Amino acid sequence: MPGFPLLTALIAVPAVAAAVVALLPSTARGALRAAAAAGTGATFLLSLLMLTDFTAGDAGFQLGEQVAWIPQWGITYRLGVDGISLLLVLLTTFMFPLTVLAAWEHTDRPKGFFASLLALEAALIGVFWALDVILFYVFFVAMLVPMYALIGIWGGSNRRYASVKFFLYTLVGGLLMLVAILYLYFKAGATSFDYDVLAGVALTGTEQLWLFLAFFAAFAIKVPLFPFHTWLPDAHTEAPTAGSVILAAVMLKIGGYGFLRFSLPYFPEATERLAPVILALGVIGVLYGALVAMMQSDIKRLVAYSSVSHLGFVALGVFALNPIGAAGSVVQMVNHGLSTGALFLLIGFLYERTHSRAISEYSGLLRSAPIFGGLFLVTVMSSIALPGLNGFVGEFPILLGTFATSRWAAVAAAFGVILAALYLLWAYQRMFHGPVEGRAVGFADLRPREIAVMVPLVALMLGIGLYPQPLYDRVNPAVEQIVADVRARTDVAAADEAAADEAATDEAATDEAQEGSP
Amino acid sequence: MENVLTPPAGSPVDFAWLIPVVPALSAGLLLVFGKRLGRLSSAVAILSIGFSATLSTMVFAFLQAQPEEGRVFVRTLGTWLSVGGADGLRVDWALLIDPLASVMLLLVTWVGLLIHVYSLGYMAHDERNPQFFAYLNLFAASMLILVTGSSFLTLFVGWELVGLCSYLLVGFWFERRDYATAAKKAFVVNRIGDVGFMIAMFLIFATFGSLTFADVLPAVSTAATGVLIAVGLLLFVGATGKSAQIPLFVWLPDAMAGPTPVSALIHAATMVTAGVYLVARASPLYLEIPDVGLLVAWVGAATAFVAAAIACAQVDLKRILAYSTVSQLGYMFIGVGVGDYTAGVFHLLTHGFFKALLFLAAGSVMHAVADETDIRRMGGLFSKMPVTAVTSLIAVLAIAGFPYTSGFFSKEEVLASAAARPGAQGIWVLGILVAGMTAFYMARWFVLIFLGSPRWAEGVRPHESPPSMTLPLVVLAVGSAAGGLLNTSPEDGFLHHWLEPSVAAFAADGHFLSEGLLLGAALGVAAVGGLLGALLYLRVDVATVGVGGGARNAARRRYYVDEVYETIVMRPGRAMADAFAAFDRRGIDGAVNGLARMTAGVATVGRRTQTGFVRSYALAVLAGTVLIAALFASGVVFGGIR
Amino acid sequence: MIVPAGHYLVLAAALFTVGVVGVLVRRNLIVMFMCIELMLNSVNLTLVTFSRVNGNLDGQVLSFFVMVVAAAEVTVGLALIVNLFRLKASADADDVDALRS
Repeated sequence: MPGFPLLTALIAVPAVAAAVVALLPSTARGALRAAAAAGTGATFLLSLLMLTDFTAGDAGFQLGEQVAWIPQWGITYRLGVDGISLLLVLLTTFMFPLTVLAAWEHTDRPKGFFASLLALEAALIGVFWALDVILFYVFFVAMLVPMYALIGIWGGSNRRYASVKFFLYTLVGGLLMLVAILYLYFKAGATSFDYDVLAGVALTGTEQLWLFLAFFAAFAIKVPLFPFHTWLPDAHTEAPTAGSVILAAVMLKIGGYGFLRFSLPYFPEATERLAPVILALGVIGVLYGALVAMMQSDIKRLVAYSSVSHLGFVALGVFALNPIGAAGSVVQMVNHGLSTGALFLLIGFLYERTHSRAISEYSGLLRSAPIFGGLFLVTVMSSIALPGLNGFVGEFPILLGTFATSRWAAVAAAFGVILAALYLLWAYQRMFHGPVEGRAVGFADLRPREIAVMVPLVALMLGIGLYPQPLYDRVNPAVEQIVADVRARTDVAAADEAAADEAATDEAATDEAQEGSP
Repeated sequence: MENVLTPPAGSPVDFAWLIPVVPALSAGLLLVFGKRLGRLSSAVAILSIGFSATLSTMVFAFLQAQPEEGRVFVRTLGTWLSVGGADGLRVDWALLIDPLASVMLLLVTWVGLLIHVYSLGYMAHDERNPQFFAYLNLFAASMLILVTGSSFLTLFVGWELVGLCSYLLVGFWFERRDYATAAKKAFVVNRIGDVGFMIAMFLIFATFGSLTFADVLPAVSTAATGVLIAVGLLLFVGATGKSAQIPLFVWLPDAMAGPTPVSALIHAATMVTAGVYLVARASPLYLEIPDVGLLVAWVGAATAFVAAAIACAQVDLKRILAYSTVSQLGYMFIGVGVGDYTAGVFHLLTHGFFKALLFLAAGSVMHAVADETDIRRMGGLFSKMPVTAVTSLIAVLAIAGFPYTSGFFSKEEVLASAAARPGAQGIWVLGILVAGMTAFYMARWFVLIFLGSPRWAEGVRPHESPPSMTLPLVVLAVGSAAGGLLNTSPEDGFLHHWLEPSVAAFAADGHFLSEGLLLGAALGVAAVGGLLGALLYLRVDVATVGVGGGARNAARRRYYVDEVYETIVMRPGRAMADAFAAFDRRGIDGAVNGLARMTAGVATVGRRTQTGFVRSYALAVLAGTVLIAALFASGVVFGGIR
Repeated sequence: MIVPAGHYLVLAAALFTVGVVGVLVRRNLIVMFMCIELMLNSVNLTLVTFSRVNGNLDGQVLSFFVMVVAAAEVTVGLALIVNLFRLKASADADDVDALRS
């Protein structure tokens, strides 16, 4: 379909659906959820068109759309897609219908709930499509609002603290980024906020460093990297199931996405200079997140810390600055979305039945609910990167790529693999093995609707694990270009510096020679 | 490995990919529809593994029909991973079918088939019977992926999947908390080794730019020795995890919590030998670094000795066999360590027969005495279950190295190779010693179970097991007795020739003793050990078995290895995790919340100015206006009024 | 007789002062409200005066704006006061201190 604005349509469909839900009477529960399901389902089906419209081997942006928005300031409505954003958007559109299906029986003020979810979807897709920096920023902040509402209104007992913490963390990072964006804008001659224009701005080393740090603040909080992670366990624990799922599956990915989309291409020299520090933070995140996860007594908190650990790998892969690691990172983001999203969905089913997240209150769940236990185990195995399931095909290339850049970082992070097995299997053993006791007594196994939510997820885990090539085919060209770009620009800078040094020494030598010959 | 061929279309090798795929599909089918299939599920499982066994045999026959230099095939199915463009990682789903893989295929599928059949009787009354067969199928598929993997990474896939199946099957009766703990322990300890394997792969990729055997192994001589040593050591770390060697052997005895067929298949015949297979597969690499090989052999010898000593003091019939397995795995590592890969693989095969037989016999015994596992409460079972007893006796003789049984040939070959390797004489001495200990504890095991006076609990009616269980025993007994025919002599045995295209040849350096003396020493020590064990325990007062202090107690308590690990690894680890968790709450979150409190404090001070009275606000507005006007007028700002 | 512009300005200033003092010292909301109106009208007077002095109509136009805004403000303000009176049964400004915790 040439000329059809597919990218805009993908933002518009959930947005319109959100409006429709908002206009329906709040008592019409059936109509509300039907509208939500239709909206997210239509978005997913529409996103499948991307698979045919997108050319896999092409590195640049495709299916671009551009309309002037605020021409006085050079702000445009520019969208585009490359392999990285394609995968993340497909993940988004895939997860939302499942989330709606999982929240099918949601009874507490369903109108606002479903409207928030749909608005969130529109904003998230917008973040990945946007190729105008202000447009990106607008979506980046817009997604905060529905998520804030989801946690703050439909959350658990400590929801106020969690939602405010979530909001402030993200906003602070976002504002620092905004300042950096404005600096870039004026440096570039104050004519355009276009992604490519700002990428071409010539910056000194110091400028790069500060601007990099400002962008880094926004994305490191989102990833989240140690030590900016403590908002995550609170937000995850207090959020309703749908919120946790979307937060883990999609929202955290904006961090890794931002690194690849902005940090690396915009500030290559600063990236190169700070990469060792960020690798160290990534390794710390992997190990620290795993160790802290081990000590949690709340299963949701445990999974939240496991996210800190798993997403530390993403930072490693990106800042290994080679195509293997970076491509692995993108796939790891997708995989983490699937497996952690699935874990939160399963914990949601658990919580709906018993209203407890305490690990110690369960024992022998596998006996009372074998389907639930089996699906949980598959998800756990995917999360601890068992080969044959999806986790491995992301994590292994990341470690391989990191090893090429920094051996000790890869070796240290590899130990996270042991720890992941330890904390997840320990929790699994405590909750699912042993005699049937505590809240596991009389625990009802999954209903068909819940199984229907899990089947596509498990199928994808297996499918990606055995045949990840469709993902890598789309990611490889994009990350190769990004990394090659960084390499080229840092090499040029290094050459300049070397030339300058040489000139200086030459000069000095000439001076000396002149002094030597009276 | 230089001469890698693509299998001709339509040949069995061309279809070899079905060997792991069919059991895997069957496993999936049983997991999803097992409940509906009911009793039919065991039939599905047996048919699928039977298919694999048949196809494996055809593959073997096909290879045999090929000329000697044309027996290495790679069957590529498709790309698995292609990451990072032209210089990136590229791994195919591909099977490497060569003589080594083909004998492993035979072992795994045929022993697997026998154990599937055995489980028919053994697990007949378990309500989760379909699930059990699904896991067995899944295990077979994983093990077959492992032995046919054409690259380090595909081998690693099987390597990890067998670990998963071991976890599932050890914890099959997960209602018992200690069984579940044993399952987790097996998985986690294995993972420690796996990290070594993974780092080895990073290093291999960084050095050779590929993980495929056909790319890496022919190129090993081009790499720096330091790198090779590191790779060799790291791969061996992986092997110690999977094959239960010092220091990672602690999981295997606990893994006996699983159903007995599982112990036979996974923890005796196949999975635990994966480490030996890995070293044999990477033999061109180890050939370049003989000193690392010597270390491997020493670790194997030490493990063999320690495990044999522990086995002498145990009273649980499966635990004795478990430590015996650890000990025999030590022998295999002696073989591959000193450089005689054929000998290591040979012992792997014969051990697969007799140890699977011993475990299955143990299961048959447990079946007969109401799941009793303490050998002190058995005795005199020979007449009650003659088939089990006779087949057990054959296995005991084989493992003890009785002349012309399978174990005799393979163990002698390992020991002879150790003797022929300069610098390995100490290993040979240890090996001889362990041979004696092996004969001792196996005699003790046999005597206490089958001979002497009956000591089983009241109400137990021992009986012979059903044919589905005794048939595999008989078949394996034939294998245990006659398996030595595979390789009757190190120089011109069949296996020796057969494996030539796959593994590096052993360069014997001449023995430090004459061959006759070597053989005599081994046989003599074993005979002494065996007779001692038999005579000592034939007339023993059972009250004195499994008690006693000093060295015996230490061995019974497994030399406190678990306790030591608990103290030096687990406890500090937990303390560290606890400290980190506290730091997260109080340190990082404390700082964040502190910042929030500080902001709130500043705001509280500022709030005092907000009285809530409209008039005070109005006054403030007036004061401000007057101030601005005054500043204006005085010329402090904007240069005053002109 | 032409009244000099200064007289108008003095009158406006006086009116404004009366308004300010009224807002500050009185507590009855209606009276405070009237005082605000007084201030607005004094400003209107100033605007018209200067318009006249400068000979252009800008000031007069602006005073119309002020009147319109004042009318709107009266509407909203009185509505607020009436509602407040219903709620608190008083029109005393000091009774309205809900923001003071």
